[in-house]
Amino acid sequence: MLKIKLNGLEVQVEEGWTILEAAEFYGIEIPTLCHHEGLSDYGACRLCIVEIGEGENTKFVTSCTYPAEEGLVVRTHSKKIINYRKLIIELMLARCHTSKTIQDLASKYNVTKVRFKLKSDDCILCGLCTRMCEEQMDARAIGFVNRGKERKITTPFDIKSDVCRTCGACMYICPACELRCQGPEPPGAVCGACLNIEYPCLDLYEDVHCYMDPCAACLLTESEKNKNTNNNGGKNVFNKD
Amino acid sequence: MESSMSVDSILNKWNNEADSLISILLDIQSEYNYLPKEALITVAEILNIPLIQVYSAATFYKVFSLKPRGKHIINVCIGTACHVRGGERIVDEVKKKLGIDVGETTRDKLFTLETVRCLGCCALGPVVLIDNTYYSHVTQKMVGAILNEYKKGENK
Amino acid sequence: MSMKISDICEFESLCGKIRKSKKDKSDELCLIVSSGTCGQAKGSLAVITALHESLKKHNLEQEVDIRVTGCHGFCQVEPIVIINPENIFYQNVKPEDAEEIVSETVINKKVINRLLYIDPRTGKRIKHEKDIPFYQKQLRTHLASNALIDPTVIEDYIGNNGYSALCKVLKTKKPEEVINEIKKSGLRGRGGAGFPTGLKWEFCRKAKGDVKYIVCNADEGDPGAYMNRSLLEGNPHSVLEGMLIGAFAIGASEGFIYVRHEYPLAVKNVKIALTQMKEYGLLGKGILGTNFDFAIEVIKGAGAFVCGEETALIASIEGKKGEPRQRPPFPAQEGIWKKPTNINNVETWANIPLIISEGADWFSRVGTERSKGTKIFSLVGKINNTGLVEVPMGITLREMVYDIGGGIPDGKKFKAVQTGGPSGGCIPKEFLDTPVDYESLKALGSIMGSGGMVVMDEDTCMVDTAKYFLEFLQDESCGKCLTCREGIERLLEILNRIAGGTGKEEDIELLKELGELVKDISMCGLGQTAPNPLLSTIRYFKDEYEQHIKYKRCPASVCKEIVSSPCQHTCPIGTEAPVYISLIARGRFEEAFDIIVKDNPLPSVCARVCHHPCEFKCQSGKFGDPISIRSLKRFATDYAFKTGKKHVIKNKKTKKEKIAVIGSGPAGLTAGYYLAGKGYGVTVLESLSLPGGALAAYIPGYRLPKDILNADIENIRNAGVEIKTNVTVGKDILFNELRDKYDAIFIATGAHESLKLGIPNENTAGVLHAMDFLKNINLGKEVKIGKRVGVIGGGNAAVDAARAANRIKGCEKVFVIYRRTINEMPAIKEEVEAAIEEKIEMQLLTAPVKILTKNGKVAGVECIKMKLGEMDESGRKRPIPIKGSEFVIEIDSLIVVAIGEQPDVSFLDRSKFEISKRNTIVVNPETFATNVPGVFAGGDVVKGPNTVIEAMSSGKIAAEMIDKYLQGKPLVREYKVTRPSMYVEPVELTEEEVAEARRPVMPRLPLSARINNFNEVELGLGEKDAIREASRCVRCDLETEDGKKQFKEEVENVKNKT
Repeated sequence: MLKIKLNGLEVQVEEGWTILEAAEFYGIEIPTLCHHEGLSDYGACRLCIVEIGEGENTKFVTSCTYPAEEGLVVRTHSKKIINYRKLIIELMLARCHTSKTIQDLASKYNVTKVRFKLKSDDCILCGLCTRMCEEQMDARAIGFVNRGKERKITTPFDIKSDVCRTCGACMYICPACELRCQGPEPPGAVCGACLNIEYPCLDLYEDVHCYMDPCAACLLTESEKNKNTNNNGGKNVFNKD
Repeated sequence: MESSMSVDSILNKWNNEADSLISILLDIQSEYNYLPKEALITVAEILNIPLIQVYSAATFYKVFSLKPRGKHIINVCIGTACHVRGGERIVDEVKKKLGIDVGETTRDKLFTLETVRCLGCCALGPVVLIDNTYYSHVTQKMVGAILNEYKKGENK
Repeated sequence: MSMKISDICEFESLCGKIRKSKKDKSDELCLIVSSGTCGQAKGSLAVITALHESLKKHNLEQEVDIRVTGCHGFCQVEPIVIINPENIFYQNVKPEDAEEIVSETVINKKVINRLLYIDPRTGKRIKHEKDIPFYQKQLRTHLASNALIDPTVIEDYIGNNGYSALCKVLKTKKPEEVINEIKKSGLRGRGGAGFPTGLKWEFCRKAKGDVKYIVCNADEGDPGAYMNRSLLEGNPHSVLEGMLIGAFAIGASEGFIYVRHEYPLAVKNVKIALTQMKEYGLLGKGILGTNFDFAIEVIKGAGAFVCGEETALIASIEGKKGEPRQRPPFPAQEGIWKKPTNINNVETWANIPLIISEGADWFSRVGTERSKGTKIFSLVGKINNTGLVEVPMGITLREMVYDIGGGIPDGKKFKAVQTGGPSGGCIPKEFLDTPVDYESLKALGSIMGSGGMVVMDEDTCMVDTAKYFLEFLQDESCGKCLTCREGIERLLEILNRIAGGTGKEEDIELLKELGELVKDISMCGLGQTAPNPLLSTIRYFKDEYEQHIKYKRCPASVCKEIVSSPCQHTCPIGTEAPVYISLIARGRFEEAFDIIVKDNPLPSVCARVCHHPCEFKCQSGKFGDPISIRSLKRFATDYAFKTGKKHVIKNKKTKKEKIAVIGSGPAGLTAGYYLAGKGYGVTVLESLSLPGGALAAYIPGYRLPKDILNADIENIRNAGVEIKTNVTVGKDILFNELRDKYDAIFIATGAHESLKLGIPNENTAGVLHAMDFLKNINLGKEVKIGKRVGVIGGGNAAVDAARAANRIKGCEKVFVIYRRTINEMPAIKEEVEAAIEEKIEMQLLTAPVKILTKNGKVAGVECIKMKLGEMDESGRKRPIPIKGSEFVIEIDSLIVVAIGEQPDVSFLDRSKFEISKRNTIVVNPETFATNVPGVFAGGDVVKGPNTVIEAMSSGKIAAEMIDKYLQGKPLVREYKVTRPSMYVEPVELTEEEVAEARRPVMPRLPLSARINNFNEVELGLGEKDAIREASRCVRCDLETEDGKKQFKEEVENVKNKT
């Protein structure tokens, strides 16, 4: 057993536990995205960050990977961390705003505005699917390819994989493509997710543009707005066509 | 398949060790001027590692190309020192003259244009490396003449 | 030597023999040729071949050695050939020089002057390396060895005391003792993080496990840094010996050298060195008969900067992609294949043998308290002396940039020095006296890094710099963690907006917020340091960001989407130079004139007297001659003048309001012109008898003929501007009366009150003030000067006065006395050249001390010679008087240029108007409005003495603001990115035409025709020259997205052709 200091409380934890496990044991909820109990820890989404150390030696680490050490001082909900978590969620939304998982995180942590251009990607690169495929299904059909901005998850050469058994486990575990928002149905209408977000178009227009033609004004840049294009600058992802 | 034979001998050179994957891929690229799909599949088989692991590594490192490349590889340096001396303009000039973008090959398969961030010759910037020849203090005006030398070489 | 030695003492005695033999040979003839990658790129191999041939020809192959070495460090003068034993330093050697070097220097012992290095400060040629300023403040512990060693010959290294440290360690030391020595020395990692090396070794030694590895990190990915390359190419054994000692101390049996792919010569030389080591028994099992086993493998990188990060490097060695791993566990505990691994940088390893053989105290005698030893930096960018420099820690940035680097080329101003590569920050000139050490650089928001030091000048845009580094890191990021991948992408998104002219006020705060996130939360060092360049540029150059966002301006003229053409962007009145130049190239001269006149109501004047800031920013000027933008303007205006083409102006008074303009100088005339064009009634009041302000009063006729000036002013009159001369506000009419009569007032009275010079006898007869002198000439008054005239000063007024004096009958000799050098004279270059042509004697580096009088009149001026001393704040070398160098110039007239003319604002009520200490009127800098509604001011009366074009700019903007005021609209400026109003199809030149094109020489009146008259000297370009020069323009306006779309079909054609 080890002793650590968790949010000011001296607690005992098992040897080999991560900070996340210790916090969960003591009922402190730390948000995660790329973490899953049955899979190895990855530490890519950075959502579970906590502050360790004191004074000048303070560092931020991912609680899902950092092992508890004797005498460790941990803060899970400092002001800085809360702000950073919100910004991380904002970045996630900017990439995959159609994911209900991320939208729920946004509403939980009061992220109401996305100040970046929405990308409408359907992959958050959390790696859950690749770890699932490798560790649980032992298939190793998919993996991370390229690097940096071009990084994506796919099969070798982007073609049908010989070793994929179409078990569907990757889709099951995916937080982004699974559970696409299922909001109200009228064509061109706002889906349930946007109810969590402030309308950026109200900064510029008198009406919420989701209902207007052209819609998706929140996706247009200044010059695109000036050109008054008829096609939707970003994508009107809420249209079924 | 002929390429398979060469790949086998490269794998042999490195004792079929999975740890030497990067070195193996470098040798294959040296031999074929790019990484053919069949070669990667062979490598995965012989090293007994998942194909996705080989493909992942092949797409991660900038040196590797999965597409066939031209006879002459043009590397324009856009490291900090060359950038401050206008390296990007040299890239633009080459793009204009050859009608290709960075990473592309001319239709006659003579040139492939690539950029590199620092060849370590900063005093000579802007620097262009074509195959193994370094060109120093390159200006926009010089680009056409340099490219012509290689084009002329083809017509001989 | 292929005998494997298995006894330390035997090895030591062999080394002893080699060292003695080398010492005995040190007096022998030897030609040292630097041939690292840079040297080879500049043709050193051909030089070596030529030298061999020459020696063969003279039968000297046996007596004279040629030693091929790696980089010496003074990269820009490569190839370097040093002749020993005399130690003569030849630079920029070509193969053709080889024969002369052998026959003249080697055989005849004569020095070839043209191959010697010229000190730019003194103009003298330097014979020996140690006397070259570049080397003087360096402490070349490592780089000096590069010149003594052929990297492919292990005996050279041994002869230079190599492997003595290894022997010492194997014979007498225990591993812990070695580690203690390294700890004691204070050596810190030279790769960037600066972690204490001894401590790092200790962690690895103490880690559990029998199998341990050491790694040499030669993945030098920082663009602009190539120190490691030069060490590995030039002295690989120093690194390898260091690794042997490290392996011994830590208990490792295998080592790896991870070299980046782009360094083929380094890989080659290291492999040769390893082979030779094996031959001597310095690698493998039982080294030199001890039970120390060690093997080294060379592993090539494959183009991933992130592999410089320790855990990514480990992954790469394991054959995986270079994705960094979480820490803990640390490499010292679990590294390659989970075994304890110690990774150090090339330069760190290279320091080890010296610390062991000379001792920790020797090493730590150099440096600061917490940063010991020397460090190699690559000093590159906008710097005169580019190369590798080795300096003691603690040297200041100023010493590096100015003393070693020789300052900024082309007379440009220093802006910032970027240290630490993409992980570092930009340091502005306020901190040039900072010592270079780990802590000081970190405190400034940068890092030491691996040693890259990129110098930037006024033509470098800091927003673009931040963008550049983020683009680099975006390419190189492994992409695993969200904050690095998404964070950098969004930072770039915002920066691209700012650089594209669509930045928003909130953007700077958002950049800081997101930057902090990426810095604190990313998993590895790449992400954690990625925002440094951005955050440091925001910290120190925030106003530059604000310029981009608020004013849509890029002061360095770099950001294409804002600037379009630097000439148009820089012009204070926004003249569309690219358009009129491209029209001239197409022979459409009348259209060219229309374009000029649209933005400039005094075109013929500017075509002759403007100081052409556009030409200083011309892109062609970056790698050749700038386009003669001003001369081309003159060609178009002369053409219009000759063909009788007038400005098309509608003289229509459509509005009821009336505006008074006080002063008919460039500011007043411009304001009046544009206001009349908007339909207002404009009256310009001028106190002199002729209109034009400084243009009429001070600029001599040989530069600006009266009829040309009057023609431009006539056009302005025709536009509806009433000009009343001989009216002085405050005397003939009071300011308050104007306030009653007119609806708005624009004050443009200039700055003409001279201050005294402050030297004794200033008021003697024969001493004239330059401005009064010039004014009297222009007003047609009789001006008396003596036979010998001295002029003190170096600006336009001084040169104008000198050239004017030279033309007055009776004047036989004119001297210009200036305290600095000719390159520092502020006067327009063309004027200085013409003055010299007209046989005016330039007494440079000379300062006046006393005016000598005789019979109450000027008889001479006592002067003292100056020399250039240390660099002052402005980046110029301060002139210092040379004691005892006083001398007298005999003159009978002395023209003195006042310093700091001030405006005369006595006609204004100081209780109502805000007036500065220098008597200038304080206005809102954007709108030129004074604090009194309806009263505006512009030109020199606001800025102090300034240029014609700046004055015109304020007049143009003030006119717009006055219009808004009178229409009841808010006084707000609208800022837009620069774009031309039309795109002209470019002229395509052939390769030969491009290569041959040169800036034309302006035809000038022959000297004989200039005597005793004020006829115009510059005659204007001929049509052929004008078209050819205009065709030389590289058409920056076509490089924006808008510009590229214009002639899209052209590009498609090229694509289809190839």
